[in-house]
Amino acid sequence: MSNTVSSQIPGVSIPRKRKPLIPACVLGMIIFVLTEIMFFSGLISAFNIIKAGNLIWPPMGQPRLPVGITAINTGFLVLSGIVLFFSNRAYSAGSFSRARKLLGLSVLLGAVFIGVQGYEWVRLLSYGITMTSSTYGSFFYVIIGTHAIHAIGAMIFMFRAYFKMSDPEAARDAFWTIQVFWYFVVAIWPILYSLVYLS
Amino acid sequence: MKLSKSALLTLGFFFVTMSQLDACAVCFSAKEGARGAFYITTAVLTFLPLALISGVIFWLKKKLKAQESEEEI
Repeated sequence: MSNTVSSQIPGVSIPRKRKPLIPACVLGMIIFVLTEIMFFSGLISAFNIIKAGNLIWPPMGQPRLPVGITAINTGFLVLSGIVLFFSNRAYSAGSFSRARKLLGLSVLLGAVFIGVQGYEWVRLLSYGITMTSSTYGSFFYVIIGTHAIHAIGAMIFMFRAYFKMSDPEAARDAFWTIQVFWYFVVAIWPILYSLVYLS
Repeated sequence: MKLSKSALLTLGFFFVTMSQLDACAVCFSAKEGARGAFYITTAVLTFLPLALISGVIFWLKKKLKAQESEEEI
């Protein structure tokens, strides 16, 4: 297939306009997520090296993290990702109203995750785990806190996408972009949970 | 030929600085576990970006091929 098309002027051809593979905002988000993966890898690496250098982990005298409630909370987050996947399927099938409802449900599940995390943080602070209490506390707040900031940021944009969905065609790119970011937030959480909470 | 020369130079650099790099793993804790974690994380942080970038390029290439074959039809 030729990459040019003939114009109305004889002998002059103009380049064929190719449809972009993916919207620019989605590509931008993919590149951003790649940098985020490296950022979290750096945090995880530092955590692993410090942990390996300690004979007892978590250090003595430090309160234990709430493993059970956070496991349930992990379920909410993963469920939010699954609901978003079905929202995308509904959108692709042209069922925009269903897609919007599912997106709303996904936002709600994400908000529950953030709410429970916030509640747990308040409790942990009252038990004495702070940024300066030990390297354990520092790593906990840096790694889990960074994830929480990402989750809150993603929630804001998911809200925005939800309201934009009243005009489904206009919301297409925003919806796709936020999906990339939310899947990243959901996918990285079980790794962080097993590393920080279960180790 | 140029590439192999630069590859050799890079390898040589790593061999010369190996003891300094190794010291980082144990500068705060002289334990075998810390050294092992340092090696693993160094490998992961070296190869992960390459794998990620290659993955995205491969995916985009696959999408481009699919689009081209669609255009031909």
